[in-house]
Amino acid sequence: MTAPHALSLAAAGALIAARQLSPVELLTDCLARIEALEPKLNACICLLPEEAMQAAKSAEAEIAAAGPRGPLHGIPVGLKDIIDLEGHPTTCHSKLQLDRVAEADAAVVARLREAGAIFPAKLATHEFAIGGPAFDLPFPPARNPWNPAHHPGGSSSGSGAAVGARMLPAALGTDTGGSVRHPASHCGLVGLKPTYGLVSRRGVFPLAFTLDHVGPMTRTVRDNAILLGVMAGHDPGDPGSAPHAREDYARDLHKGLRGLKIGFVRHFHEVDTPATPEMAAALDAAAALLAKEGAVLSTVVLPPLGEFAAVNRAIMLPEAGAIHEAWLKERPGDYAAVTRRRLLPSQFVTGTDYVQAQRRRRELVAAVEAAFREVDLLLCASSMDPACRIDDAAEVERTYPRQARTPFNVTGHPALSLMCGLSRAEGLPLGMQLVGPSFSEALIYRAAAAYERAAPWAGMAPKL
Amino acid sequence: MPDAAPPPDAPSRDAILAEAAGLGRAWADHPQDVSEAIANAAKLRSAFRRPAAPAAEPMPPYAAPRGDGR
Repeated sequence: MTAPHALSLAAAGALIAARQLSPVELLTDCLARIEALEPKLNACICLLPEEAMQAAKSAEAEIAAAGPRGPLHGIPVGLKDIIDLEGHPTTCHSKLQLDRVAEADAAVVARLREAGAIFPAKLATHEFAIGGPAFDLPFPPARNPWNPAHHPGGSSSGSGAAVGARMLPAALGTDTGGSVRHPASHCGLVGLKPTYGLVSRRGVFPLAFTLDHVGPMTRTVRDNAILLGVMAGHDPGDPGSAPHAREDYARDLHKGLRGLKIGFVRHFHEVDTPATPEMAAALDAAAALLAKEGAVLSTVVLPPLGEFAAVNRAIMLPEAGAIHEAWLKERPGDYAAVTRRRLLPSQFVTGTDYVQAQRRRRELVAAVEAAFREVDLLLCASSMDPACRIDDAAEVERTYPRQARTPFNVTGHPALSLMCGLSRAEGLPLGMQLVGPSFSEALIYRAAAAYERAAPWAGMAPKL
Repeated sequence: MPDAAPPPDAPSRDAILAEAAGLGRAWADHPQDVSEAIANAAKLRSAFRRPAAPAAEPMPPYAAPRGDGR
């Protein structure tokens, strides 16, 4: 029998509903797994075993008396530590926020809590979701469960490490320039950046208001769809929240690919930012498999990747700069060096540059929208390289921007990263993205589930 | 007539920009970081194409308040 910590969210939920697994057993096994692996992976900033166990016992009693509230009842979910959990510090992995205790749950946490989820851990992040991996912070950086000498991607680094290592079945991350999809790609997970506004940002420490998204990180497509189904929904307390009705995002997982038109954005990884040959081959193989399963593949051309990346940066920096202005002026030495270096340019980007980027953003959105008039989904690279060694600062700096995730923070379209290969040299996961029109998450999940069934990666796990 | 040459003890361009941005402390403690930041911000100016149409609107656009705080 599979150990409880290794069960998918859906499998654990089904066993709990059938009274074959108790939330207490599941949590106990996950906590034991965390205790065993945390010294190697540094995934957690703060463990909350007593509070979580109390919640698990309550869930156990309620389920025994009245059945589960839904598929998340009794399921442990990790929270990136920029997401508020009432009564606990939201450190943002920073010396600057060590003492800020959240007065209320973030809106997305409140939704999960209402659905019966349990919160045993606040998870490592890059400092303020931008500065990392860094070794000069109050907490060490998370490491890659597939090879702890390598970084796990970021900024939702602890979320990637914890779910990849089977410490937890699911976690929440945030994504401003790819920070859910980056660790998902490097840790062999499924990570979704939903449509902008689908999931509330209220109670999540902001990096950039018009680019920030909260997203689910899981080991399977079905788990991701289940988690999003609870996370999504209009929140009047988030000015960017979309008035979009919640859906059953798992409704079409069985439908397969036949008839779907998928546009392959080859120039991102072949011309604009050339991927490693291994990464390029993995993307070609994924495209071939999608076609074999019934999708109609074509090549799609979008504006150059560098345009999206520069616009993302010209928007992100001033928005982040407004949030960090006082600290940059008064306490610059309290940031990690890498965070300070990444944030300081924010104080020198002009207002004109910011507005020009927002004007160019409309054109870039129009270009991607035009593509969606020809195809149902887009396929493109996520990272252009496998994760490098975490202690190789120069290689980290070189490879971090070599990615194709920022376009969809700029446009707001939903984008999902999932595993599409394994690097031969280091045995590290490779990832790809499926991208859809706004609010097409169910369609993305449908295609991703079909790929997941056909590809050999789903059963693979890091050897820890 | 061009300005006279600055006196030899005049602050550098980066020091002036840092001071103007209110980053005196960062300049004092991390001058290299501040100089890199100035250079990186300047690079952004030519890093993406500016819309040609003068009336091209930004995204997101401004929208009138609806009276419910949004």
